[in-house]
Amino acid sequence: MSSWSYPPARITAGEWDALMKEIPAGFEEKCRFLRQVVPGGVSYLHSPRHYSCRGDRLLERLKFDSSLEALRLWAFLFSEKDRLFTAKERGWKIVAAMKDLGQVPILTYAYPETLTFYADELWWAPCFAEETRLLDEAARLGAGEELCFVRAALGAMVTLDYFPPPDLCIAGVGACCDDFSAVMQLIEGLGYPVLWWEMPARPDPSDTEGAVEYNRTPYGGSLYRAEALPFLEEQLHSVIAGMDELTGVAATPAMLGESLNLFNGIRRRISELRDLVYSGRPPPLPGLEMFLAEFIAIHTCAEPEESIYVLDGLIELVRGRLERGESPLENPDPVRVFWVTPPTDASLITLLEDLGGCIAGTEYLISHAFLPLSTGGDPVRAVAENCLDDCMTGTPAFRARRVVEGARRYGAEGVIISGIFGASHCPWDEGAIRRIVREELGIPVISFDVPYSPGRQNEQVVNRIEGFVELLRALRS
Amino acid sequence: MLEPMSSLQENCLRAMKAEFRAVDDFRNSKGKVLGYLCQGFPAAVAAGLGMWPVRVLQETSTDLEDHGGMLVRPDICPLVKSFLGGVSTGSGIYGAIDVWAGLATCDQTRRCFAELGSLTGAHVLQIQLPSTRSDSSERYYGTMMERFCSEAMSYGAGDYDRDRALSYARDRYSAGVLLARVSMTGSVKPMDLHWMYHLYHVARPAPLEDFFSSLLSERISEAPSRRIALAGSPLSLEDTTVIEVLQKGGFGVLPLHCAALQSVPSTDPPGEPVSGGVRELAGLAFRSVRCARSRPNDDMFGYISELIDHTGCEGLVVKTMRFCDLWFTERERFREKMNIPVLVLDTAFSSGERERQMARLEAFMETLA
Repeated sequence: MSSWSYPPARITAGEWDALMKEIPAGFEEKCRFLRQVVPGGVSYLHSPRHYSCRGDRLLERLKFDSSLEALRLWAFLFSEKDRLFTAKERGWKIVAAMKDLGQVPILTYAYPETLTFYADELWWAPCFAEETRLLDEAARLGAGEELCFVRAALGAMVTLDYFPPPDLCIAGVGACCDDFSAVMQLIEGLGYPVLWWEMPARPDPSDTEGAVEYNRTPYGGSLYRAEALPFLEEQLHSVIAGMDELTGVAATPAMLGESLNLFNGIRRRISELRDLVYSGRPPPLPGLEMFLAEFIAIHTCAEPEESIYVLDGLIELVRGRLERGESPLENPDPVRVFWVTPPTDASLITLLEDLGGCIAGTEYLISHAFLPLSTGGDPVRAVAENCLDDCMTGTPAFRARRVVEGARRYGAEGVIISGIFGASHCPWDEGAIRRIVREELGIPVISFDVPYSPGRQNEQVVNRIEGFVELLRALRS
Repeated sequence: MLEPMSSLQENCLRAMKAEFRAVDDFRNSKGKVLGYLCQGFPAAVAAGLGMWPVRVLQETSTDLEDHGGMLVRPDICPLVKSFLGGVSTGSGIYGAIDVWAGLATCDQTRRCFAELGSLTGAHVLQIQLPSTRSDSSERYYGTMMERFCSEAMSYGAGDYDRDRALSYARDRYSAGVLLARVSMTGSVKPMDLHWMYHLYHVARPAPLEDFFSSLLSERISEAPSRRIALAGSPLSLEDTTVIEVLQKGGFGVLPLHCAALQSVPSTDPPGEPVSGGVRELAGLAFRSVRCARSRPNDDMFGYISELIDHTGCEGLVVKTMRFCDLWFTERERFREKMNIPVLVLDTAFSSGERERQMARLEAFMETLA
């Protein structure tokens, strides 16, 4: 924004609060959600402190990019529940997508007057709220500390203060983590309507499979067994049938194609944003804003249309900063770290940047959601093909290769794997990634679990990140 | 063990050792032995390919768990870790397995089989058991099983012989029906029954029904007046604390876990094989699964409730393996849905476990008194 003169920097929630009165009215006017539901839309451009006061206290410990575009991103994300409640009040259908990571919303947004959110997203609610209420509720129902933080979704289905009661839950199972599979079953046990569909596993080819037909996905290049695709299409058609029944509208190929194009637009923007930021030396946007932006690819913060405006603003901002050689990071030559698995304590990304590092690529288990969807053919097939690019349904080695590819592409000097104790995939992924990154790239890898530590960073984790950054710096000299 | 082995257990042990010697002979004559873990894998399909199928649910130990723990982080299911340790060391029966049916079930086994080759050099034929219970998923399982056969043939198995598969499946069915019957009546002591089931998992089925009948002709005892049902994660041969303690406490055990009753053919709905075709056998195996992992898992609760009602069990022990999310998270729903007292035991193979389990089981039995 030309009228915004604050220089690129990372600033606190308090500093943002002080700046709010200087925001140009024209910009605030642009930030409106649910224009189709409420005439003129609902204003959402509030400061991080505002959202902190509403309960997400971790915001007080983070540093934010000082641009209006980043402020809009934060506000858009933290106002998701307002959209869901507003839409529900106006009679729209609310759909909870669960576990598929990016495919179901492409189908559900083909239907009018529905909003879709990801129940899985609630994993970060106890971390941002810095209190255990959702986890306590989940524990009462049987989902205790042996599960990763996705169990918070179960608690939220009881408290209903993050989203209204969903009209339908669409649950992908099969080749998925045990944690959320267990949680989804307990959600059904609460009485919510759940439509189950199967996500087929995608094993790597072995030496003896010469006679077995393998195909490749068009954009991810993932090898899959030929029988998986028609099965997956059948499964996705069952999702469509469920949505037809819920909404009373029979989705046509044209409606599905339109939704697919909308998501392709979102994916293209995020993919471009990633390339611009993660290739930047130094990056033109901090890691936390990228963390938020990447997840828009799967959940769109429950409003695909507004997502596009938010992303367009970020891309324009980033392009401008790159042209001017600007970065919000203090260190002009930060050590470049590829981050694997979203950290449950988002302040660790702030810490990395405080220590003179930066994020140079990520694999937050959603990397398939940045790939384009095939156009011009059957939209259901295109979604199914994308599902076959999902790291979660593949092998640990497959995910490790994707990490290698990303780390190489963005010139990472080291890899951080932040794990979650008890999560069923972490023990296996961690070993494979460590082994394959070292073999292929020869760069240091560090892995640690991030314990739940509301109100403060875990000291052991802090020490390990500090040591890792020092190691990477030492390797430069 | 709390008590010395009974003569029936000794007979089973002898038969098991004889089978393992026969496995060696089979391998010496170029036969392939296929190992598998989950009862959802149709062993008769492997037999139809001329392979010797063995369900490897034994030799679990702290030592093997520790070995497995050297290859992967510790926060995984002890059964999977012990399995990983067994394959990597090649100890006992593990050393006799030429190829594994890498049946992806829970996330732990899926990832274990995906990594098994890299970590241990083992050969794995990958396949997935869908967790949804639809007709579509059953058909998909059949398709995957046909592909499994092609892959196995590439590995060196014989052509699929439908008659051979059918013969194996029918013999196994007969032996399984017998096991199911004595499990339901409670006329065999729990530890004896445990051994019979484990022989069933590794032995050729042809002589099993007769062998079991011969054992039982002398051993049928009066059914105990009080019984406790046991459900949850599979019990390995060595994982006997629960059964031993209940038996010593004077209770019979209705073994509802997947290493016992669930692993034998169902008579309701009919589970007798007719054609020996790959899809038929895959379908029967698919429908036999009543695991907490199934989605939805109403069948699992229905199955357990129905058999408990039918047999008049006074209590239910749900034995889970540590880090098994799928069983352990159902603990509150078990307590809510069952009309009898429920004890949920989260277990591992580590030292000190036995005393802990004994203390909790004894307290549970006291509450039933």
